[in-house]
Amino acid sequence: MEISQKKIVYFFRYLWLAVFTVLLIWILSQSLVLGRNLTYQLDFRHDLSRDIFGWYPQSRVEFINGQILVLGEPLYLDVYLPTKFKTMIVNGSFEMEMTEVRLGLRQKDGSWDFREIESSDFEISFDLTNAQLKRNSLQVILSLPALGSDDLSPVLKNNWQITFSR
Amino acid sequence: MIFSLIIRDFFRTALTAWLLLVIFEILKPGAVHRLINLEYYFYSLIFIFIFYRLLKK
Repeated sequence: MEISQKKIVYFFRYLWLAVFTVLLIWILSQSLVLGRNLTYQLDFRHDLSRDIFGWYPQSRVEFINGQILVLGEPLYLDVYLPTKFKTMIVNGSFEMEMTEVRLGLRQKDGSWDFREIESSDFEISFDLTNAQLKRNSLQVILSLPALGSDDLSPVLKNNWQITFSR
Repeated sequence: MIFSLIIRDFFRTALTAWLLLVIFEILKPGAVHRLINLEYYFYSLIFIFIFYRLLKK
């Protein structure tokens, strides 16, 4: 092999090394959270994103004019957790006139830690000590037991936010 | 000749990176999979290897 050809081979060898090293560093860096808080701004237009999966089943929701129309219940949401946190705060707003709306978090024993949503603009805090982590994801449930008993269809506004804190 | 060497180097580096990513995924489930589909990555490696073997002949 000529010297010029060797140079080309070495150039590409180091190029591949650099490319894959950057890729590995980027993936590792995505798992690091240096701050005390982590906030996910939910975008209901996409039911699948890097850190959030939901709401699902998809047949129970419909996205209309920047909002989610709830057609069935319960709804589930999976939230990826890159590291350990103590509390999760969910805040957002919705339009509905139902009396019973609950947000829950899956626990280690398979049960749900339910919290009542009492106003259309809400903020609910969950303790993550006993929360179930499946593939480093938390499962959130939205339960509306009264859905279907009248003609009302609740609407979730696309402004939900999930904040984790240590 | 030179092209097959470049492809070989690419394959080796990509395979090493895939193995490291698999180890990381096992240690911290979901950390890699939410960013990269390791299954498709593996299929790509197979295609690159076949391509390299064809070039080498």
